[in-house]
Amino acid sequence: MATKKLLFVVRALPYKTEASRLALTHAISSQSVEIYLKDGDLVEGSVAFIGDGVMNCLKNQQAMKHYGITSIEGHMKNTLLLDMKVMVCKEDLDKFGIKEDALLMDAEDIGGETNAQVVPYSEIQKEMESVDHLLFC
Amino acid sequence: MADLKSQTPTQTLDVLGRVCPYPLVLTKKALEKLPSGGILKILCDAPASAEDSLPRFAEGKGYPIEVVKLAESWELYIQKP
Amino acid sequence: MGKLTIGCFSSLVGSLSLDFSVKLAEAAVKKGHTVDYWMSGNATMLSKKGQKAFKDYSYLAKSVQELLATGKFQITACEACAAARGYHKEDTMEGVKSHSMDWYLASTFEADRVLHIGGD
Repeated sequence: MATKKLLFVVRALPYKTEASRLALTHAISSQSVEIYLKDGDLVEGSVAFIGDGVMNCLKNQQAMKHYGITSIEGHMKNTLLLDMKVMVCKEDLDKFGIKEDALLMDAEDIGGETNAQVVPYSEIQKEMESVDHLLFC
Repeated sequence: MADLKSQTPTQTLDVLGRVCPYPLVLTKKALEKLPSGGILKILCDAPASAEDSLPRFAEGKGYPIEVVKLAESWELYIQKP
Repeated sequence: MGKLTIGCFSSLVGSLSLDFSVKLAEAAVKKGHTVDYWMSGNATMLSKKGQKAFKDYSYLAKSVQELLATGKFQITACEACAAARGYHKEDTMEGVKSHSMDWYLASTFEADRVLHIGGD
């Protein structure tokens, strides 16, 4: 029985490409890999948003209204609902002048108990060093 | 084997229009909350989920499953032992 | 010998990132490693059969078939990403599998290295 840890490091802007959306959905799919693995073996996914990627965390996205597609917020909420670790780089938020109250930090409305965390980059660096694989998106 | 599709499901999970990973992840969540003996009916139109990952999951867990192919979608019935 | 898992999300022809990732797979297989190759997003274009070879454009279908023939290479397309683009099972190149995303995540479990290449 073993657990492999993956960190999805999201740098891509939301909606310009599908990279950040796919990063979240792939991270979420770490919750269902058991169908391919031996009993007890797991893959644990976590997500860190850095650089332009912090924009994915803004709340009140209007993708459905303007593009007819689901917003990235929904995927963010599902990562929190599934108790995945979600980190957002404080320095990059400060660089863009984004305050924490502009961000999607929880999924309470769908029964989630885990919150996203605004952390210094040094914490994200530590997470990068602690996982088995890094996936830059 | 009990004919699951002819029984009244305890809960219906509609994942029509949703694609991986959600059909399986949401199914797992629903099954966690289902009482023992309960039947979960899943409405799904993603082939990889309906024909592969969902049956694979149920069989791995030893949960009885029936898969009904409709014109453009599937109905899956999973019973939690 | 090791295992490399590559997840590529870049478009066929339009982005040389896809070509780069296939070259990387070739180099790894040549060294004796096994490679799992996951196509998601725009990279699912590579799964489509009937690609035509032109001098000015990448022709990766041939590279993929050659890699498959080595027995050390598996290639899988994200079924949802492909279907969203109008590619279904009957459009898929021989030897290319089609699964949901968990296939890729499971592949990383046994991988010595994972390269996630992508977007655009």
